[in-house]
Amino acid sequence: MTIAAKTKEVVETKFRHEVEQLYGAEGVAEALERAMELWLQETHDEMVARERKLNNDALSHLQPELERQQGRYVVIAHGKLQGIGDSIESIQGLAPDALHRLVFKVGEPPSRRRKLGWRVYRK
Amino acid sequence: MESVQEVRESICWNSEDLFAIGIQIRTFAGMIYPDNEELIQLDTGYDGELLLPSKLYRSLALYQWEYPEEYWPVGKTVSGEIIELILAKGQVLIPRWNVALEVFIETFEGNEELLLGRSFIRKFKVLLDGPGNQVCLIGPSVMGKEDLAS
Repeated sequence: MTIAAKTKEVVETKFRHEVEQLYGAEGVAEALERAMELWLQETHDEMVARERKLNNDALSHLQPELERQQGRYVVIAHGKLQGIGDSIESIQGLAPDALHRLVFKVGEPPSRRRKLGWRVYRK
Repeated sequence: MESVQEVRESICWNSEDLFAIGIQIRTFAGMIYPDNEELIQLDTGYDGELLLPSKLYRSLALYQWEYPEEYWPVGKTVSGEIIELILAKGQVLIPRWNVALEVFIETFEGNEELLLGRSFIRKFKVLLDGPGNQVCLIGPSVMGKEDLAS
């Protein structure tokens, strides 16, 4: 695959210089692939958050329809209802390419209050 | 996996420092952590079923089995901090009993704890044997059939 993009000259000059030091004159493609992989890793959480919001927004519009599906399992992905089934196994294969999915049993609201018996140390 | 009604034997884990049992975690996509059973602490100070480190939640891609945000629990720590927990579903395997249980899995950003809480413990008769340095699940279990998943 070929990607053409205009970059800042100063960045490209430094990039080409350092790639040559590490991989030789033919190493640009390898370095760009590594850069793209790193970028994809870095932005993965951002992409999941974006799809999470899309799916939760979609759910609010689907509530009237889901009210009639008490006790059944639902999959929402790509901002759309993907399917409804009587077991988690029956719907687990839906939207396998989605980064984020809502998969839940209608009318099974878990307890919303939690006691966490410790102090929190976040990193 | 066989149903828990077939379980007859009590099982124990040596647990000198922490009260812990040997489990694995499985997603509905079939991802399993860890490869072999690992001792996970029973924590009566946490009233959920299973709390995961946020990094593990991500590496198991549990965001593909997530409950809607309107169902996410809100936790309060002993020091009064309010934390919104992310909620998904998965399974806890007890390999030595050959059973799988469907559980609610929770995490929050930056969490590093991996704990089994009171809602999980309540599915079993549990012996915390301090002098014997072990934790035992007592069979036959009192778990409801609806909690099982194959």
